[in-house]
Order: sequence, then C-alpha cells, then structure tokens
Amino acid sequence: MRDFGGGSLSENIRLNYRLARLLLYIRSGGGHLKPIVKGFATGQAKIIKEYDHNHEDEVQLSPEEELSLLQNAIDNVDGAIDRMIDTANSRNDSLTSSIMEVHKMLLADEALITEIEDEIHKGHSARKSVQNVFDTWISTFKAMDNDYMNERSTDLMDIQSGLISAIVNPSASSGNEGSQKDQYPIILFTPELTPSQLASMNVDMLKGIVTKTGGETSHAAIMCKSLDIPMVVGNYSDQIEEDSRVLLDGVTGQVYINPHEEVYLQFKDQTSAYNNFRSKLERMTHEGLLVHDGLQVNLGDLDDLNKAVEAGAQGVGLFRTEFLFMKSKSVPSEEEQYTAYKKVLSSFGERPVTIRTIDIGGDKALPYLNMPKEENPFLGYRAIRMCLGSHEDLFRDQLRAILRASVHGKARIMFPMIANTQEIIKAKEILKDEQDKLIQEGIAFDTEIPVGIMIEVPSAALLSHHLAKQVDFFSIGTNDLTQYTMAADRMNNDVAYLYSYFEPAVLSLVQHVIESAKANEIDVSVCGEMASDPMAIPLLLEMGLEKFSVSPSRVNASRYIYTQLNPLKGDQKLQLLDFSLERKDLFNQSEAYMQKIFNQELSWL
Amino acid sequence: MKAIDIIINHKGGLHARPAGQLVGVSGKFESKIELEFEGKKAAGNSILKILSLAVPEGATFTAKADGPDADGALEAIKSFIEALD
Repeated sequence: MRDFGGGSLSENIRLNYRLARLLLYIRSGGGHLKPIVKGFATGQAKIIKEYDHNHEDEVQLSPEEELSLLQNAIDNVDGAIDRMIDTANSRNDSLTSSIMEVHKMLLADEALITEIEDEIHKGHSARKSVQNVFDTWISTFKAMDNDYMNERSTDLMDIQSGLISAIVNPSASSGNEGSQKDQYPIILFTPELTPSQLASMNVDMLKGIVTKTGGETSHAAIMCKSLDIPMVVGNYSDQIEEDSRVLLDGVTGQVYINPHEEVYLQFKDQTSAYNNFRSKLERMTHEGLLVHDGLQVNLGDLDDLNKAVEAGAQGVGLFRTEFLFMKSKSVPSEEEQYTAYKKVLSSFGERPVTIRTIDIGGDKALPYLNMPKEENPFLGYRAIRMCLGSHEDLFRDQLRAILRASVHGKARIMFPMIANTQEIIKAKEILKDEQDKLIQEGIAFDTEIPVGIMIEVPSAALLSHHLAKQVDFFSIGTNDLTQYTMAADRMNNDVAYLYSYFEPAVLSLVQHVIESAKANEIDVSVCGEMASDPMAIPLLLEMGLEKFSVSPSRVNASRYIYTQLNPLKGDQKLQLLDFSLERKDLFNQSEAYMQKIFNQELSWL
Repeated sequence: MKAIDIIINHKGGLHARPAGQLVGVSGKFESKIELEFEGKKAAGNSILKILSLAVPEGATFTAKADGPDADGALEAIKSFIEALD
C-alpha cells in the first residue's frame, strides 16, 4: 500500500525526479474540466483506455462456432451483471442495482440478439457483429433529441464492451475490470464512465472520477452523487500514466498530475477544510430546527415531502399545488386535495405551510381543462386569471380543500399572478364565500388563516405599497418578476442576456416590495432562485429581507450564508444597493463582498 | 389486428423501467404486440425498440395486438401504463 500522506524518501525522490513535468494541468478548451460532483480527492490514476474500434478481425470461425462464442459471452456478461446486482444490494445501493437490472433486460432483448445473429449468419465474426449492431443502436440513441435517451447510449456501450471482451477473452470473468481488488485510493480516468465500471470497482477505494463525456443527467453522475464521489468531465490528456499521483478538485474542476509536494500539502489543507465545512453544514440541519431564522423551504411534490421536512426549515414558503393537477387525468376532487394538504400540514406541525393556489394555464396546459391555445401564454390566461374567470368552480374546490385541511397545521393561502387590487378583492370575496359555507355546514377550519399574494407581475410590485393593505403577506417570485420586468422569456437563449435578477430594475422592484411590506407591517419573503443565490443574499439582506424560501437541497448553504452575514453591522456592511450601477457592477460588488467574508468557502456554497 | 391509443402520464414517459415492465406484460400474451409512435414501430417484446420510440410524458401512442387474446393484451397494456405513478 502506498502512503500518500507520509511522503516517504523514495516517494519524494520520485516526485522530485518528476519536477520537470510538474503540475501538468489538464485542461479542456483552455479552462478547467467541468465539475459535476463537488469534493476533493487524492489517489493513484487508474486509466481505462478507449476501446479501439479499428481493431482488425481475428481468425474467423464458422458461423456455428461464432454463434456459440456469442452465446457464451452473453451468459458471461449476464452472470457478471448478476454479481454486480448482488454487490450493489449488499451495500444497499438500489440505484446501481436498478440500472444493472435494465442492463440485464437489454442483454436479453430478443430483437437485439436476433440482429447480432443475423450478422453472424452473413459471415461476420461474433465480435464484429456485436460491434456493428450495437454501434448502430448507439448512434440511434445519441441522435435523439432527448437527454435521457442520449444517456441510454452509455448503457448500450457498457454492454457492448462487456460482450466484446467476453468474446475476445472467453475464459476471463467478463464485465468486470478486476478492480474489486483495488486496495489503495484510486482516481479513475475513463473515456465514459459506465455503470458496470462503477459497479465492479471497490467503491471504498474509488475516490474520484475523471471522464471525457457525460452530463449531469447520466446514470454515472447520479450514482457518483449518491456515493459522494467527486467527478469532473472534460478532455483529459491521454499522456497520463497509470499509477500517477492525482489530486482532483471537484469544486473548480482542476486536476493535478504528479504535483509538487507543496501543491499536495496545500491541497491536503483544502481537503480537510472542505470536509470540516461539509460537516459543519450538516450539523446545521439539526441546529436549524432550534433557531428561528426565517428560512423556509419550497415544496413541489409529495414525493419531496420527507426531504423538505428533514431539511430543517421553518416551514414551507411555497407549496406549489400544480403537481396534484398535472398528475391527474381529471380535476382532482376536493377530497383528494384535502388529503394531500392535510398530509403536508400535519408533517410540518406548528411550522407554517404557504399553499399557493393553482398556477396553471397558458404554457402549463392541462388536457382536461380545455384551455384554448394562446399566442403568448406567459402573458395569457393563467393562474388567478382563470380562477377568477372560467374556472371559478375549480378555484372554489381548492379553497375548500385548503380551508378544511387548515385545522391540521398552520396553513397560509397564497394567490399567484396578482396584477392589481381588484384581483385580490375578488379572490378574497370568493374565499370569504367558501368560509361562510363551511360555517353553515358546521365544518371546522382556521378562521384566522393568513391570506397573501405572490409578487411576480411588475404592476403588483409597483403598487405593493397599496396592495399591502389588502393582504397578510407577500412572497416575491423572482423568476417570473425578472422575466416580466425585463420582457425576456427565460427559456429563450437569444434573450437570456437580459434575464437576470441583478438587473437594477428588478432589484429596485424587489426592494420596493420589501419596503412596502415593512411599512405596512406584513410578512415578506422571496421564494425564487434568487433566495438561495449566494451572490444575491447580501443584497436581499441589505434590503431588509428576513424570510427566504429555498429548495430543500439549498437550505444548509443558505442558512450558513444567512447566519454569517446577518450579524454584520455598520462598516462591515457594504453599500451594495446603488441602482445607478450596471448589473455586472452590482454583481461584482456583491461577489467581492462575499469573497471577503467567506474566502474559499464561497465556492463550496 | 386490434389497436388502441394510450396516453402516458408517467414522469419521464416510456423510459427504461416502464419499458422493461411493458415487455413483461406483453410476454404474458400469445398475441403479437406492436407499439407505434410518430410513425415509428416497436415490437412489444423488445425493450430496446420500445425505448427507441422515445415516447415522452403526456404523449399518446398506439398499441396493436394480433392474436387470439388481443383484447386482453391491449387492456392489460393500457391499465399497466395508466397505473404507472
């Protein structure tokens, strides 16, 4: 076993000898490799060579013999997959085992096997036939206009390479790179990380992964995330030698090969700083429940309920109810909705849950609502507009369900897409009407239920000082507010340069809303992406914002930033809110401020 | 030959896991099963071909069955797809 930490004499000599080609950065297109899974890792390089497709056909056997080679290989790979499933199950890695189950089904696909057999009957070798048939399917999947399907080509490549090595070397236990025996820390370099490579490695010794291709949605990336193995992607050099000493920085994407001892020592410090930081953040999850820091969580689906509850937030700042309607084939009944709301409310107990009424229509159409197609769905008939118009019945059912569920926790009702006072008055009239009906029917509900609105239409932001007199709280939806203020569709790449909540126009609207709320002593929070953006948080704090609603995975990091920044007073604070500045200056100023306070931690947040 | 249209509301559409399970459902019947989507066809016993249809969430595809138990097969496929959550 090699001891990287100790720096033995021979190790030092070897390193010094290599000083000449010290610090060989691997770069892709002049930059770093792309970080996919954050973290720091140290280990020895293990290189998986690219499969050589130009390999000439070896001795050709008769079709019958080639067919039996194929059958043998299929059985071998199938056996190897079974072993990988067992290994994955034994470490409770259900993700890997479910991926390997898919491989097993693909390997048993009759249509696929028949195509390979047909090639063999035409006189090709088993190896060549496997290669050709899989290549065709791989390019079919790669050509699809769908990330998920593109990634399936990796699964096929994985099976292809397993089959080919089993044909070429029938006696070896195929599909297994023999890495289970690795007894020292490994950084794996592979052109494309395949699930079976990962499944066959000794994951305790696999410390980091460098691949040439593979995106955030690849099975491999998902598995690395769940196993917490740092991963970077980019075009690494083929000159890297097996067993080189490798430092992998999964935060910036830098990879060091045979670095100078000083670089290594620095890296080691950074690694332990990062690990300490991570555990500090994890501890905050538990402590978070004890402090009242106004950090809330966004919830969009009952599937995420546990994650949201465990994130240690002070309630739900935004519960999107659309999933109930999207998942259903017809309008979900009052009873179905009541059950869902009750579940969320009782899970959060005394912590408030802000239930947003349906925000649908236009771009998010539902077949059963028979909504007309629109030229301009984002400016069209959606959300509160249809609830106050043609779909009042649906709105009433939802309000009844929320009111009935309100006895099971601390519910708040929020109306989306409000553009003027009239809409609030009308929505509140309908709510009042439903409350009166419930009283008549003798059905209990929280009579003090707070009623608020989303501020996402610029007209509402501009008049927020008036609207504040009508409601109990505001929640600023910065994603829509940005796109409406800048008149820039955030899905349209051509106008993406305009879409930024650092635009002074957007920031001044946000500030006005916060000030209006404070002047009228009502509650205000931000629930868009801006609320968890490290560079935006100091701006929001300086505006006086005290409540943030973020996705469960951002709770810890946001809480950390918030607790570090909030006590800063006077000269420690910078004047960040000068809206005569350009957006990039506002951003740079905020970034410099954050850098000063958080140093290297900023990149980990 | 019988045929029905089926809407898939499952998140991610007809991806690997449901495609694999669908092969299992098709295999229980004697009839020859075929799926069709946007002019592309796939045998009901091939996960690879079903995947290559790339049927997205919310789309409608056609299931066809030819054989003595065609009605039962189509009914089973329809209820399988609709039961996906």
